[in-house]
Amino acid sequence: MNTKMVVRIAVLSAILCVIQLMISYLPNIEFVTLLLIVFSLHLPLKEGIWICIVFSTMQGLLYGFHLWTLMYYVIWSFYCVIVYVLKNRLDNWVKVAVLASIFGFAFGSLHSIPYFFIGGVSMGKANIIAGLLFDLVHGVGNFVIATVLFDSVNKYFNRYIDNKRN
Amino acid sequence: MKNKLVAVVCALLVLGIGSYVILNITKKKTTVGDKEISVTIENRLNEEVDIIYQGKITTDKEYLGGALDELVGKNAFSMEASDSGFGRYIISFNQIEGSGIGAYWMFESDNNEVCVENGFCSLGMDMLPINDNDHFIFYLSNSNEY
Repeated sequence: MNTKMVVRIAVLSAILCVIQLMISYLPNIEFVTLLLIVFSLHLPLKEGIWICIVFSTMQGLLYGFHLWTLMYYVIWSFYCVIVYVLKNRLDNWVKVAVLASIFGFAFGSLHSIPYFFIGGVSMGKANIIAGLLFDLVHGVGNFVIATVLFDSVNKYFNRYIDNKRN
Repeated sequence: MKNKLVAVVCALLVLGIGSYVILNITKKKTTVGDKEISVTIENRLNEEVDIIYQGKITTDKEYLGGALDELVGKNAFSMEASDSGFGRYIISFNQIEGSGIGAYWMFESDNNEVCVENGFCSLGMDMLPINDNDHFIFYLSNSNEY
């Protein structure tokens, strides 16, 4: 890992944190998914995962390390890997918006997985059901945000990050 | 541009219809009429549990949040709550807030229908239906168990 990579990870993680905090008053509306998708499209997988780790650690420091913050490490990194695998197919805003909305819809369910082990099927199911409405808001929010902003954010990354990466 | 506008409008329609369906499916039945519930408020941050309030109330409110508001109205204790968008979130009881990172006011019940069915109180206080003889414990904890 060279200096440029470390700085890039730090700056992009900081951008994620600041943007997350800026609109944290809106429940389940976030730009993190879109930005992570764009980061993963343009950066090596290792960098994407490091950004997820730094971002999740910042969330833990801000809100405390609980199960939900610990799950951030797993879920965001998992999303990064999925984007990396689908990289060549995500060539327009429609596909990205659909993927971002799937990420949003699935977020609550993935978050509930540990509860199946802690309190059994009933606790896991209850957690998913209690979060259904928020998952819907998350999914639709991600879709709208990706639809409106993907092209411009992606263009920015094409122009600045790709040119200056090496 | 037009395609994007159509996509956004469709997404918002999905949100509207989906919210309506989910709210109707997941809405819990409430009990109308008077019911007596007991409420205990504890500070579990210290080694020895500090009981801040313990008492009962007869209320016709259908949700726990309403019953707590009644208790506050009777000066049983003071409560500060903020609307987080996920429903009301308790900041303090009797001005006792979570001291430092990771301490939160939470609640549990050993006999409320929803809490027993789900293994924990999966709904916020303004969405949790109450029944006669329900017992709720509100506690301040650093919540490391979850």
